[in-house]
Amino acid sequence: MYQNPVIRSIRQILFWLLIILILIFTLFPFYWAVVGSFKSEAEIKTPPASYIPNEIVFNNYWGEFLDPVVNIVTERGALRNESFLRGLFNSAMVSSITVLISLVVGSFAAYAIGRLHFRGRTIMLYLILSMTMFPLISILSGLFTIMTDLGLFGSLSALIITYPIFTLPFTVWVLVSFFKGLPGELEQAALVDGATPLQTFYMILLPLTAPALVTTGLLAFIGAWNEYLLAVTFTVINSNAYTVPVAIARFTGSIPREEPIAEPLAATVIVTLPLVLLVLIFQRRIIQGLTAGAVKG
Amino acid sequence: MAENMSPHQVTSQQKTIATVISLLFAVFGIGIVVLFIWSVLNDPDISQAVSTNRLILNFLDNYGIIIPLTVFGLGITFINYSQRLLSGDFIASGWAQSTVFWVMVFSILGIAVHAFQVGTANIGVELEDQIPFNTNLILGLAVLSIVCGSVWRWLDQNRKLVFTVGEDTIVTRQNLVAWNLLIPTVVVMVLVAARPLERTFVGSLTDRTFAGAVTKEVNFVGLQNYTRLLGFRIDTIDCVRNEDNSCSTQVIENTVEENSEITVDLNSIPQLEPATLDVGIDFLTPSTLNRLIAENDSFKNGLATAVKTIIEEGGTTVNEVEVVEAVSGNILSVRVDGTSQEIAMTKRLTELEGLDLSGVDLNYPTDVTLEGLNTYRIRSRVIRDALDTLVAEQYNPDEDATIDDVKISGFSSFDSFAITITRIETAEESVYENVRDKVGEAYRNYAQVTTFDFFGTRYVLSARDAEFYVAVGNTLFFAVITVTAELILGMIIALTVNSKFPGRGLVRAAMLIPWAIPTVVSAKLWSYMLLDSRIGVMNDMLIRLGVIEKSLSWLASVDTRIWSLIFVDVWKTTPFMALLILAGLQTIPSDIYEAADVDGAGVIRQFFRITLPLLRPTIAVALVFRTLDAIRAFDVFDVLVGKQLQSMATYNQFVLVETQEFGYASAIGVTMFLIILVFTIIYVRALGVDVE
Repeated sequence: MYQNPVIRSIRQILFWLLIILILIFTLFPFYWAVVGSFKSEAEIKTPPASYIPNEIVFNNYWGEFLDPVVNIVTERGALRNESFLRGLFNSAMVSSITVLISLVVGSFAAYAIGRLHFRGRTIMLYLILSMTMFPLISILSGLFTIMTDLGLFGSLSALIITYPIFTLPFTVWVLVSFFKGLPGELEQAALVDGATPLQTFYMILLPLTAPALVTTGLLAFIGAWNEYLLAVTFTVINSNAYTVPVAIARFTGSIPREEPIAEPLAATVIVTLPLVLLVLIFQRRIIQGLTAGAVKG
Repeated sequence: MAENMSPHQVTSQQKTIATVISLLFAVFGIGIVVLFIWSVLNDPDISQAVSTNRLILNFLDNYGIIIPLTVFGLGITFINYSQRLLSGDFIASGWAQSTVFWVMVFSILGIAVHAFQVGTANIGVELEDQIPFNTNLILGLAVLSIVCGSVWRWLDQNRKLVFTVGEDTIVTRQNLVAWNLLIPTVVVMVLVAARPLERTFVGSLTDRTFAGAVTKEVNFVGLQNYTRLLGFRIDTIDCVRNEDNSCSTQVIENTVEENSEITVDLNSIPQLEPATLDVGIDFLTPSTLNRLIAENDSFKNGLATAVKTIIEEGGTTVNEVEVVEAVSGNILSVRVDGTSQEIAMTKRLTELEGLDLSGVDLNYPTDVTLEGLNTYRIRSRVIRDALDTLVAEQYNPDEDATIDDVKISGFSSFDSFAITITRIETAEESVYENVRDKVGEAYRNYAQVTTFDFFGTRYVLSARDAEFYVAVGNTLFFAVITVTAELILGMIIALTVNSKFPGRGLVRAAMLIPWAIPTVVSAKLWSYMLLDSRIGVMNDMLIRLGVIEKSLSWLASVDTRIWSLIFVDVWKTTPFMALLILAGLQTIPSDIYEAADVDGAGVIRQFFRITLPLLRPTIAVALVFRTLDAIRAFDVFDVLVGKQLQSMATYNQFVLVETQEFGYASAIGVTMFLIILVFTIIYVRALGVDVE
C-alpha cells in the first residue's frame, strides 16, 4: 500500500519512541538498583539523586566500615551479611525441593489426566483448576495450626510442605495441555509392543516432555523463590529459616544506628541477577509456559 | 486374560502367603479404625466434654470431617481388599499392590521429613541444645515401610499366578494406573488445601487464640467472630447548615505524621554555639579538632589542662601535658611528660575545666561525612533537640494546619534534613463523637469507617471492626485501578511489540524482568525510589520534568500512599499482562487484517471489530487471574506501607501472627474466600470464560 514517506518516517520515529519508553518503564528500576549498589552510602543519601555514580565503590557488596565513634572496623556488605547469605541458601534449598516435588507429583497427575481414561477424570481436572484460583491467604490460619500441630512451625519443612499448593496445580495444568498435544500413536505402538501404561509413561512420554518439564520447573522455581506470605508467616519465630524475600524485607545493614540504602540495593541486585539471567536464557520457554494456561494453541 | 492362566502350579507356600496378606489387610483396616476411635475416646477434650453439643463441637475442632472420613474409608477399603483377595480377585490384588506401595512411599517420606526437620533445626546449634530425633516415630514408620515393601515386592512377583479371578481389561488397568499416579496429588491437595480450609472454617467458629503461655480453653462462639468482623451500622449525622447549604459537621482533631524536607544553613544556627549547645568533643571530627589545635593556642592549652585534669583524676600526678593531635573525634594523641600516649576523652567540651571556648570558631565541620553526621546527631541528644527546635522554627507550616511537633528524622545532605512533622489536622470527616453522642451506649463497639452523602443527607458508616472495612475498601480500590491500568497499558505494549522489528526478542525478554523480580524485592527497591526528598529518584525525575514543584512524600502521605502502591503493582504486572495479550494476538491469523485492509477498514475500526473480539477469551482469562491476584495482594502492601495502609491479606496476616487470634483470623480468611469466590463466579458468568 502506498504511504507518504514523511508520514511513514514519523510513524517509525513514534514507534521507536514507544519501544524506548517501554524499555525505560520496565528496566529503569533495575538499572537504578545496579547503579545505586555501586554508590557510597553518603552519595545515595545526598539529594538530588544521581543517575551515574560519582565514584564506584564495592563495599556495599564486600567491604569494611570504620565506626567513627568507637573506632572499630566492622565487616559490611551484602555478601558478608550472614543472615542474607543464609536466606539465599534457604531459598535455594526450599525452591529446588519444591520444584522436584511438583515436577514428580505433577507429571504423574498430568499423565493420568491428559492421557488415560478413568472414572473421576473430569472431577480431578476441575479440582486442580479450582486450586489455581485458591486464595492462599484464606487458609493461612488453617495451615498455621496444622504446622503448629505437626511441630513444623518456624522451620523450612513447613515451607516445603506448603509450597506445592501454588506450584502443583500450575505444573499439572501446563503439563496436561502438553500431554494432550502428543500424538496418540505413541501409546498404541507401545501397547502393541506389550508395554504397560506405566512403562509407556516413563519410557516414552516422559522423555518427550523434557522441554515442558524445564519450563514448568523454571516457573515453579521462580514462584517458590519469590513467595513471601507463607515464608514471613511460618518463619516469624526463627530468623535462621528466613528465605530471601523475608531476609530482604528485614534487611538491616551492618552499620549500627543507621538505615542503609546502598547495601540493601546490593542485596537486591544479588537476588535479582540469577532470575534475570534465567529469564534471558529461557525467555521463549517461560513465555510459552506462562501463556499455555491462558491462550489455547 | 490368557497370560494370567499360568501353566505353573501355585505352590502351597504361595497360597499361605496370599492368605496371610489378605488377613494382614483386614488387620490393617480394622487396626486404623480401632486406633482412631481409641485415640478419640482418650482425647481429654472428648472424654471430658460436659454436653453433647460440646462433644460434637470439640470433635469437629480437633478432627474435622476429612480425617474421620479418610480413616473409615481406608478401613472399609482394606477390609474389602482382604475379602476380595481371599477369593483370589486379580483386580483387587492390583489395587492392594498399589496401596501398599504408596503406604511404603509415604512412610519413607515421613522419615525423610522428620530427619530434614530435626537436621535443619540443629544446624549451628550447640550439641546439648539439639533436638533429638523421635525414635519411636522413625522406628514405627520404618517397620511399616518394610512390611509394606515386602508385601508389594511379593505381590509384584506372584500376583498373576495366585490371583486369577476376574478379568483384566484395558479399562480396569487404566483406572488403576491413573489413580495410582493421582494419589500423590490427592494427598498434597488434602494436606495443604482441603484440610487447612476445613480447619479455617471450623476455627472461625471458635475463640481459639495462641496468645499467652497458658493454653486457654477453646469455646465455640457460633457466628460471633463474623458479627464482630462484619457488623456495621449506618447513622445520619445532624449537621449545621452553612450559608451555601453545605453540611458542616463537628470537627475533631486528627494527628497526622508527615515527612518532608527542609534546607537550612547550618552555619547560621545560633544554637550551634558551643557554650549554649553543650557540644561533646566527639561531635567534632578529628580534622576540625586538629584545625583548632593548630590555629588556636588558647584552645590547645585549655585542652591540655583538661587532659591533665582527667589524668590526675585517675590518681597519677603529671607535670606537663601537650596535645599533639586528634586521632579521632574523641581520642587525642598527647605527650605526657615527654612520652606519647593516646587518651580517650570522656567529657563534653563544655564539661572540660579550664577550656576557654569564647574565642573558638566552632563553625559547622565541613569535612564530616554524611554517615558520621547522622551518627553524631543521633548520639547527641542535646544537638538533636537543638536542631529540632531550630527546624520547627524555620519550617513554615501550611496555613490551615497546626504544627504540633517537628522532629528531624535524618540528614539528607549537609544543609538539608529529612524531617517528620506531626501536624494536627482539622479533619472534617471525623465525626465519631458526633455519632457517639447521638446514638449513645449502643454505639460503644463501633467506629466510624466513612461518611457519604445521599439525597442531601449525610450518613456515616460505622463498623464493629472499622479497620477491616477500611482494608476491604483499600483492597477493592487497589484491585479495580491496578487491573484496569494494567489492561490498558498491557494492550498498548502488546500491540506495539506485536509488529515485527529488529530486537523484538530482547524487548520481550526485558518485559519479563519486572515479572521475575520477587515482589518483595521490587517493593523494597521502589521504597527507595519513592523516598521523601530528592534522594528519591521519583521526586527528582518529576521535578526535573517539571511535573511537580517540590518533593512529595509518596509513601508517608495519606493522599499518595495508595497511588504509590498501585504504581508499583502496575509496574510489576503490566509486562506480564502484555505478554499474555501478545500471545493472544499471535493466534489471530493475519489474513483477516489483509481482508479488512482490502475492504478499506481503518486501523481503529480493525482494532474494535477484529482484534478486540478475537482477544476476548485471552483478556477474560488474564482479567480473572489478575483480579484474584490483586484482591489477595499481600507483598506490596506489607513491604511498602506495613500497618499504615492495610489490604485484606495484610490485615488477616496481622491478626493471625501479631495478635494470634486464630478464630478471628479464620473468620477473615473465610470472608475473603467467599469474596473471591463471588468475584470468580461473576467473572466466569459475565465473560463466559471457558474453563476447560
